[in-house]
Amino acid sequence: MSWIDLAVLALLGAGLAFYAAGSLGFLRFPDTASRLHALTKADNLGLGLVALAAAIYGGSLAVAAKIALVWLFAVIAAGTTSQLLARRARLDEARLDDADSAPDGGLR
Amino acid sequence: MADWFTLVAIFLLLTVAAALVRCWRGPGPVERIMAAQLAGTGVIGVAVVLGAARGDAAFLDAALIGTLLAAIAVTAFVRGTAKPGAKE
Amino acid sequence: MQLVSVLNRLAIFGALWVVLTGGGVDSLAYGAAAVAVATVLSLLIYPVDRPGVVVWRAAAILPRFLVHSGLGGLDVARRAFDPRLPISPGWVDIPLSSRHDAANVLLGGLISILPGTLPAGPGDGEMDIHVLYLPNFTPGEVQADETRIHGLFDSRITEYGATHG
Repeated sequence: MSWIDLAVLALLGAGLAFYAAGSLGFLRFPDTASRLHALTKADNLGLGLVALAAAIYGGSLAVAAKIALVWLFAVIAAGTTSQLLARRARLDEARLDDADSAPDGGLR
Repeated sequence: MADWFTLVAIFLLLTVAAALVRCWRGPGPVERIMAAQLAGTGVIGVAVVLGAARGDAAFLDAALIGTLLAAIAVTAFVRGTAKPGAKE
Repeated sequence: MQLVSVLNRLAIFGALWVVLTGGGVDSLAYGAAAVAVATVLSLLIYPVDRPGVVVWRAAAILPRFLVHSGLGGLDVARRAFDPRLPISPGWVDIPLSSRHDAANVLLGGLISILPGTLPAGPGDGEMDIHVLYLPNFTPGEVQADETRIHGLFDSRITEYGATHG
């Protein structure tokens, strides 16, 4: 096993660990927006690491470029959709707070 | 080496399966669409890893389409469920 | 200046096509059509008379982006794995100096990868940010990143109230 193989394995292992962290945070964190942190940061870092491993292992520039494209699109998509979801989570929280403070307890 | 990639793909699917517990529990629609997005990121990882294991670039095309569709799905959800009178 | 912007976009979409198809000769005719349509669409969505991102400046902050992405992932992973679950979440509102939506969404994207912060998009001249651990939050960093993002654009961004470094 060459040192390149070892590096690929290390990247795969680290990527998998971040995917696991994303799922764990998604399950454990107490509020919607905090869960979104786990999703946005840990999962996308995990994808970046396994993608890097696959690009090195693939051994051709064409394959590496395409994998880089997958990663780039995933990062851009995560950066924008996470803002949309966070806004929605914030609005939902505000609505819940309003309902709590309304005299009749509010309806939801 | 290819076996390692396949093994990682299996474990990636397990992390997605674990996160689906949150989809079941909710409590709200935002959690459920987030679970879908997490499954999306997970499956894109699986496609990239399996593509490397099998030396088949078609998996990468699937991963690209998956990335774009996941983004469109979330955008459609947020645009489609915005409540009237909500601050946009 | 504007012609250069159009040529830049043609080049970017062209490169995208080559990567997607592997540069096969039999797909070049479709590629020419697809690249032309994509460029026209992009010109309709974001005309060249608006402030544009300077490509080499964006490339120059890529290393910084990668390091921060790593730190952001490590921070949230550490908190997710810790049995005590050391988080203290809450919302903060940070005023924005610029009213330029595209720049502010880009800023939001950058903030979303930094450790511990997740923006809920720009609105009403401010950015609502969800913070995972409030005691660690310093508003000054957001303002520094805002200046950094504005610095990626050409000088026309100052017309929108941005401070351009």
